Amino acid sequence: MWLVRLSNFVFAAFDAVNKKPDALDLTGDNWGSGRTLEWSLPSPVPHYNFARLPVVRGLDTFHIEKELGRPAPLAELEPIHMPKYSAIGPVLGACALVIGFALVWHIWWAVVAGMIVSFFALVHRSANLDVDFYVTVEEIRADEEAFAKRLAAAQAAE
Amino acid sequence: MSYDTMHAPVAHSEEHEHHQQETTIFGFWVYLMTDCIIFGTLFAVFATLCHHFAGGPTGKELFDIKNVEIETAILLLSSITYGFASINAHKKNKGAVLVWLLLTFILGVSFVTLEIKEFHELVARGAGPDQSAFLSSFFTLVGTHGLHVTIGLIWMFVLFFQIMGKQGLSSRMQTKLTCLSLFWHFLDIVWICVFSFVYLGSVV
Repeated sequence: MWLVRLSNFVFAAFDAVNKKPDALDLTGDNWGSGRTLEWSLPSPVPHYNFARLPVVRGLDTFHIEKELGRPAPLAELEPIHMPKYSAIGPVLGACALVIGFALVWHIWWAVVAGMIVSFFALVHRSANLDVDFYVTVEEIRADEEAFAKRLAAAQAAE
Repeated sequence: MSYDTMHAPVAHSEEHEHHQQETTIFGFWVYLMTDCIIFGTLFAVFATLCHHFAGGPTGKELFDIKNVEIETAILLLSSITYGFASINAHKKNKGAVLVWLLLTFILGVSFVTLEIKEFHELVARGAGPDQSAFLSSFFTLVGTHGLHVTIGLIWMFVLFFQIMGKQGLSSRMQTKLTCLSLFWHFLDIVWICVFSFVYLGSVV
């Protein structure tokens, strides 16, 4: 029985990879029936997620917007403040794993090593001033326009 | 396509910086509350087990209250010296901040040293954490507090050199100082509970 399920999964994965490019969903709301805000985002989702802070108008805001029409944007696009990628999370997580394992099995050198590595990782992170950046308005606007074009093309194709 | 915060429009980044400081300090308060739960749990465990001596020594026989009084005085004093460091940080008086931080650090190290000495003496007398439920809960509670103080000292050590360095007392450093001060005063309050409930409660 499990073999059937596994082959089912493998088939689905292969099928997804081998689909023709025109079968890709570019609208983010493939079935046209998404109700909540995540479906209002393009696919693939931009790294900053929402171009403007969404105005929540109730449960299932995206659905309400489909029925009543989208409200005109309240504000101009603004630069979006974003954190830079950082390895500190995985590094500390790995150290915690090593320290925890080593404490349980009394491997003292590994405990000390894990603590030293986490100490230096933390100090390095706390000395790093270059931790964030702004997404420019031009980039966001270009993304928005490309998304609008894709939406229009998808509607025309229907 | 993107640009660094270092070249961001000034007004924007200042406003954002202020916002981020508040978020950081709020986040640290949340962390302290979780720490509160840990200590609350350990206090509850101690309250349950503090009469389970398993035929071993009781707190009255073991605790050297003089030593604990000195520890308490040292820790309270270190909170005061940290307070002076905070005041001078607001006045942007970098030299004074460093001096008061150094004093706090020395007091903190003396506290930890006295505590390790106390633990060592207890274990040497055969009253280690494996002796009785009372001693297990005692070592867990007081040891957790001592571990917190030790980590606070490491933090203070790093912060000392960061303030000494190029950044001085920038708003970022001020935020760090504020967080550490919350942590330090919090540990002080926990210690007052340890002193009253664990040591005084056992001796009386």
